Amino acid sequence: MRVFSGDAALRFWRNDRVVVIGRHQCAALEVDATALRGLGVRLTRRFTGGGAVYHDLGNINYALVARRGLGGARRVVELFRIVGEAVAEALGSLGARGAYYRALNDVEINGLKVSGLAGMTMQDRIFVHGALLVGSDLAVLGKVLRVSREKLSDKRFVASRRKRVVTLEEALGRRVAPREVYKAISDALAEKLGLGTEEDNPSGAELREAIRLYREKYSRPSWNLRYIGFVETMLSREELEALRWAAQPSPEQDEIVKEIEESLAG
Amino acid sequence: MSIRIVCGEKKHPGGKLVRICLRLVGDRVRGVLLSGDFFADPEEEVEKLVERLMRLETSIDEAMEAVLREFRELGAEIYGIEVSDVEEAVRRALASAK
Repeated sequence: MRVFSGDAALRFWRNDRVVVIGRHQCAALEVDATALRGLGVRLTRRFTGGGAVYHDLGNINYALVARRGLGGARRVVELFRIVGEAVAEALGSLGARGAYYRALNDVEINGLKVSGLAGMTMQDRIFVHGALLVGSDLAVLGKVLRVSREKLSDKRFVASRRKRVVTLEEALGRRVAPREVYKAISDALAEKLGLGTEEDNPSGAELREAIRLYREKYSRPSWNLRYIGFVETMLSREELEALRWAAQPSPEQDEIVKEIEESLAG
Repeated sequence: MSIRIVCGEKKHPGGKLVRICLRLVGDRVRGVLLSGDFFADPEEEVEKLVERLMRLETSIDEAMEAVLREFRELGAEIYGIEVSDVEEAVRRALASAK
């Protein structure tokens, strides 16, 4: 789904069971490969920096592309703040108490992470996107993502507190429909950036470009498993095979892409 | 000759994490992998740095200076980590090699 026009576009989408690693990460160091395969979770690399996240249909992704300078943001970190604060306000409007933006790229509810942001600066635009845990399976997340001891020892995470993330549904104590989240985030961002909302679906040209990128980049192990050759000697054969399996799209994913291709052709 | 990979990591307090893995062949470093969850502008410059580091060949004693020299030449603004974090990650990787 796409909202806004002119100076900015806001998009929402969901992915089923996939770990998305950051542009500068090495997959083998970020995930438990055996757990990935055992749980049927795939892996892909995005084009923005930041850390590994787990997506399932209980996770909502949002992405804002904005003209550079909109809302005074000229660097990606400045747009992190605007989007992060808008998402925190949106969560507040849905009834979550204690939601706030935390630099550099997190949104938390009472000390627990509920959304992480990533993004990059392009020539005349800035792109910021985020993943929001609405009702994700945190047990799977905990099994597939490796959290380094170093990260746990940072003062932000008290040693005794093993729980680092929370879902919006846990915080609210009720089920939340995707539509509620889409509306809350687009309203909060529209107000912050002074934009009107105008809902639309992706255009044919956008879908064609998305499919080209999927075929040439995001479905390919050469992109998803970049740098793996460097650490290959420290992996077991089982881990390596599991990573190679995970770095290919699922048959369901391929089916969805084929359907879109057929609808574009017809 | 046996190949060993040793890694060290450092999280900048309230910031991001950088990880350094050294490929050791005998008493030489043959390649360094820099990875992490930081951001950069432009991001492509980080990839160029990673490519240069993966080809880096040096003695273990000179590894620290060689990695930091390459990192300081990064033609990008980096968010979430600083050169001191890369230094600590290299130190930790080297410590685990002993």
